[in-house]
Amino acid sequence: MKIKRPLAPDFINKWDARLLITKPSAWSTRAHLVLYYAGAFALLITAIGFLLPNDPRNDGNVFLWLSLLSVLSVIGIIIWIIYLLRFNVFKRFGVQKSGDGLKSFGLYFSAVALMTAIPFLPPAIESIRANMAYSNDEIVRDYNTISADIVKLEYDSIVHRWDRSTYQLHISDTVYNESEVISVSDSGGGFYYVSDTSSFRNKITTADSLKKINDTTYVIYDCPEYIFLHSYNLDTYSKLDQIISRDIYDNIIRNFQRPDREKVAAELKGLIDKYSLMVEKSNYYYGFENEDSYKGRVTSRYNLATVAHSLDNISQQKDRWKGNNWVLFLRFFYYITLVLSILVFIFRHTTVRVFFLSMLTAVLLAILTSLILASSGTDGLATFPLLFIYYGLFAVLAITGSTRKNRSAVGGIALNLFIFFTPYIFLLAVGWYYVVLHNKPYETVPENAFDNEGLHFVLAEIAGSVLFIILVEPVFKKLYRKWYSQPEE
Amino acid sequence: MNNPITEIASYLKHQDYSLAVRRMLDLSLDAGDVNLLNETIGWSREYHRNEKSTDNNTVSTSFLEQAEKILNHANAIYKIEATKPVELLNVSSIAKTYSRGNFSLKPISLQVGSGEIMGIVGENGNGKTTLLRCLAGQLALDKGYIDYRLLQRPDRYDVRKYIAFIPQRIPRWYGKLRDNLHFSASIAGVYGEENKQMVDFMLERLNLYDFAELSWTQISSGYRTRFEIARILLQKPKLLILDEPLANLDINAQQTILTDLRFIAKSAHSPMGIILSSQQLHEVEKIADTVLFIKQGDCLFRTNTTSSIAIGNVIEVETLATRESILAILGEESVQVQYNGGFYTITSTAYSPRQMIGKLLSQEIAVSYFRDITHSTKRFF
Repeated sequence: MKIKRPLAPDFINKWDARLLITKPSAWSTRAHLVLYYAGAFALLITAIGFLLPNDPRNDGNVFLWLSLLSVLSVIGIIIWIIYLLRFNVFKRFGVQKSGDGLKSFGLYFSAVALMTAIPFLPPAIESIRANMAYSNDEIVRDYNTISADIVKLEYDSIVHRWDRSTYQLHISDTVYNESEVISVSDSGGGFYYVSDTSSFRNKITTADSLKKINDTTYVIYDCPEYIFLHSYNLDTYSKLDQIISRDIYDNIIRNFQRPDREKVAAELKGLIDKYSLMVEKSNYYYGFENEDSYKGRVTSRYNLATVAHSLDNISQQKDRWKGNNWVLFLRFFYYITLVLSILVFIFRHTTVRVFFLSMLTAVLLAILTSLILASSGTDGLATFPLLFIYYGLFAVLAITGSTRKNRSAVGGIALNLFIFFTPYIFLLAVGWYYVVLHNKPYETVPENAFDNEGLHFVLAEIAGSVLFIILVEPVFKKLYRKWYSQPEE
Repeated sequence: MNNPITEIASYLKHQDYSLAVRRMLDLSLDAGDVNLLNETIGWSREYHRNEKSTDNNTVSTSFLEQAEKILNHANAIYKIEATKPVELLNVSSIAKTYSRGNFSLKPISLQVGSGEIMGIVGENGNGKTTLLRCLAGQLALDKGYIDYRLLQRPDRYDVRKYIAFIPQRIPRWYGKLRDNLHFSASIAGVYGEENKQMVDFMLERLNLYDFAELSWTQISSGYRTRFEIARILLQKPKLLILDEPLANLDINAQQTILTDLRFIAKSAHSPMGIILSSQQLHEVEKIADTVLFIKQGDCLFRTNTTSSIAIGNVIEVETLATRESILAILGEESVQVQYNGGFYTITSTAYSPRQMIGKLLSQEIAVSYFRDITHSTKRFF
């Protein structure tokens, strides 16, 4: 067999030819070609990502790449559907082996997943390069050193006065709920505000210094501002902590000893140079310092706006996938892949006309539902039962449609929408349950009712996908088999 | 000739090489011997190569030597086994009325068995395609039922697999012709080396080898029809339904396809039933076991039945003579003469066809064409 494809090595052509004559269901998904071409493209993008000059201190152009690759991925998926998914065992009434439907869906999912993953490569490569260039501890250590060195050098010009505030506590006449309510007045500033006990306790716990005059009067002292470099959350994933003004006071100011200015200045210059961008001065307005103020002058003197900007860029690029961020990325990636895979699965089992009519129906139903909800004056709570009614209706029409005398568009549309919404049905149920709980009076809801809300949503997501996989062969394929082979008129 | 080996030897002897090659391919497939089939495919390829390189119908000595070798091989392994025909389709009083428009297909019953060819003829818009689409399961029946005899409690998907329908306007296919053939074979459960061999066989059998690497836009409509037949045959249906398969073919291709359809239907390896509609009445009648004439949705005439015994003899004559002169020779009281677009259709209960043409020729009427259509559906047009 001479199957020539651009940029395809011989083994791909041989693999393609072999699949064609041994596994037509797998061959007709063309997932092997998508995996090869998309895989090769992903490698190319990875190579470019690692070879192109990259400076984590810069803002980077990752979103430009993301946009470009998203467009290319969409084009890739369209080309796959239009030019490669032309052979169809099901629509040609070929031999359908048990498990073929599930295997085909798995291949669609893999192909879509790879194409969906490509736009995520530049941000991932950027993170890898940022982590390779700077360690978590390094940037915190540098931040701390810069902050300390500035104070050492500017010791004489800094105003070392502690701000003092007196707090007078009053038990309020009005009792809200069951919590203790107190009034707190700041006699120094002359302003007045109301706080609750926990806020006040938090205030005294985090105060730089506190003096208790009596049971109702406290004096709180605020350490002078010794931090001139404003960059936050650098220490989230570091063993070290970013120093604060109080740390500087304790370690440097309290028992201040004149430093070797030249040595400190040289160390500071080295670090500032390390985080300075190529441009002379950052174009970004960073921090809120007035350039004419003392802090503004210090910031300007040491080019701290640029350093802070660089540190933030580095930490943002390094930590993009850390913590809960990767879960968000994973959900985004998973749902795009799932939705597109199901659409491809539907497209492969229905007529082109009914496929597009199904999309149109979904849009019209969304508009109609919004209109019903808006005109009836009901809140979002009513959306959920309405969606369940739609789902039930789709299921009934899909099942009855497959037993009709001829192939009806309505039956096909219902079947497509029934299949499309199945993975989300548990998610809707859990969402409905929690929306009902949130709308109940506070006192009627058990104290621990929301403890496992996040877990329940995750379980609903997993259960929906599992349900879809379970139903592919025994239900969806059988319904499509009956519906598609019905007489057209 | 009942013995296909003798039959092929006769074709070779009379230099009917094309038919000999095609029949040898059929025989090799029927014999079920892989080596014989490969040998014959190679031999066929050599013949087609030679056919292109020479203008006259000559073959090389090696071709004839190879033919003899293959025939000897076939003779050693081939056993003539009479295949018992089985009923494939029993159609009982099916009727169809479209929801839009006022056309109705009136109740029609028919039976088709393996190895049998049924022709459906009639003027345009009289229900041929409707009948074929009903049989193929593409249209829902208003009345009657169809019994697919070889299927046990089939669902509609099984029925669509059981019957292959080739419409007059062949749907566009994509990719290379060869890929499509491999795909058709593999979705019918023919895998691996057998798949390759069957595709090679079909390319040779329908003389499509030179077009194997071409796509839809690169081949003519006639070859598209041939390709579609090849594709469908590889899917191994039990019943093949063709709607106007001759419409896009030249006269030679028509003859070839009809002959091939006949051989395919009667194949010992996998005999199948064939139902085809066509406007080429004489061509269809030559190969069909039964012909149905449909007019305004009703089956008016069926060959090979007691009801189809003709009342009166009918001939078709092409001549420059006038109607009056014909009537003068045959006698106005004995015949009816109709002028039918270049032909005279002469009906008589008094004379046999031979007598009618004899009288005309004896009176020196110049006849350029003559056909006895007494038992042909042509008399209804």
